[in-house]
Amino acid sequence: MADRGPEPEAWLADDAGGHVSLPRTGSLWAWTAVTAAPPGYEGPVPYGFGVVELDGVGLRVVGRLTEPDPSALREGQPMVVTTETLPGGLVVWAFTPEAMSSTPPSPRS
Amino acid sequence: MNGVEVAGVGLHPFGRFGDTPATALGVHAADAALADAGWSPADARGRIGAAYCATAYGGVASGHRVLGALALTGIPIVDVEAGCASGGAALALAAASIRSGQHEAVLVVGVEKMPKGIIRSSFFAPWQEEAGLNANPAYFALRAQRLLRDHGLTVDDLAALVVKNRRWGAHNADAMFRSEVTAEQVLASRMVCDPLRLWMLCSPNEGAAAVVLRRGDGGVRLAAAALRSHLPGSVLDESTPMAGLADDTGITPPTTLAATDAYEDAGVGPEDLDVVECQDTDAGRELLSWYELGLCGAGDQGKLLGADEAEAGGGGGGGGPPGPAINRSGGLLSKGEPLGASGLGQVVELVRQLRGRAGDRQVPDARVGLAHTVGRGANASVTVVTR
Repeated sequence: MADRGPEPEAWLADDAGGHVSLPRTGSLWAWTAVTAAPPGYEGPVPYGFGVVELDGVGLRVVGRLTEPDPSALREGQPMVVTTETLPGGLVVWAFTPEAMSSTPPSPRS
Repeated sequence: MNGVEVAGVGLHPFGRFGDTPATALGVHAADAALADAGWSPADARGRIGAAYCATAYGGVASGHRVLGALALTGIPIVDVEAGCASGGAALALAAASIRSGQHEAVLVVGVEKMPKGIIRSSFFAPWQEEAGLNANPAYFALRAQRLLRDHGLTVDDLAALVVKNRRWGAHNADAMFRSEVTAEQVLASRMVCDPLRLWMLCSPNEGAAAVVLRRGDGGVRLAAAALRSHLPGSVLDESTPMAGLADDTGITPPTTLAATDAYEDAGVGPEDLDVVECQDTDAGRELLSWYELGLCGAGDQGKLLGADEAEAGGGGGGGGPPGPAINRSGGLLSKGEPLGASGLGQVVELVRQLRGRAGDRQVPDARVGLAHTVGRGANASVTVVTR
């Protein structure tokens, strides 16, 4: 029973209880696409879903991906945070390939 | 002294049973387990000191409804919810109540009746549902993708795992899917969440299982019943956090935590196991479970798949495979997954194996068995039985 993992201090807010600003950029670490709507979801399908490792802060974040075709993505691909608005009006964070946000996408292999 | 033995086991087949209520499924399994222990419900009165009912979707007082139908109320009846590990959790509580000397015998029953498709769970907040962040197969897919990359496995290994479980499930009359499949068929089934296709995912369904435990050291013994939850930090953990650490190499997964406890309590190691029933909610989950339970090294899953195929191919016999026989019941991929009943169903299979009554699926001279579940919470359970 010795293995208790990281000390709790690593997971709690600091004394100031302040917010930490996270970088807007990162690299793609894992990804898939959801092809059938899960319960309670009324947005478009398929939709991208994955994990991005944010630059320089040692954190991985789960989120929607704007790219719904898994074959159009690759490991380590630069990603940037954006937002998506869902049918009910909910605004959520999402990740989009960096190249697509500024320059034309490279041909899909 | 205060050892715990399995007095009886019972099962209602896993599948879909129309309007039959969950209570009826539970009564069927509990009645069978009591009969297996040699008791009528009337005999059981005065012997059974408490009952634990594992269920995730059964609703209020599920256990009371089952025990009420058997006229076995009056004793403490407690419903236990721990996601996929509900059965293991109920078994752990029941075993502890015997070891402590509180009860001579305890009934553990798991019941579930779930709709088809992606599980709806109050675990997720409404906004997560609205945002589509509640698709269980998507989290499974991310884990599977990383497993393939980190362990050097391929989509063909995922297909081979399904072929293995369906091959054994074809011999299990209690399974929902009882036909063998080919890798080509698996890889042609509908893509749900890349790389996971429909046949690589288990089906939530209906069923019940029951185990009667009593004080004693005869027959099949319950040598360990461990339950652990996750440690924080790993983004792909079954706790489905929205974030995690980039360096999560030092964070022990809940399955390994529970297995370590169970091996210590039972005084056995992975090398001693003859038969294993482990979590295969998706094909990648089983391959990862092998590693997390210490059954093989990272990337060695292919060797175990090959050994199982050779065993099934009829050669078998001569010495058996290098490791334990895994998911001879056909696993959840063949049986489906009624959450509250699945973990106890694994124990029913192990007891049949240790008693030498597993029919076509029998592992010769099985003496040590391990059952494993991991899921929502996150919770992981590891149970060891011996004879």
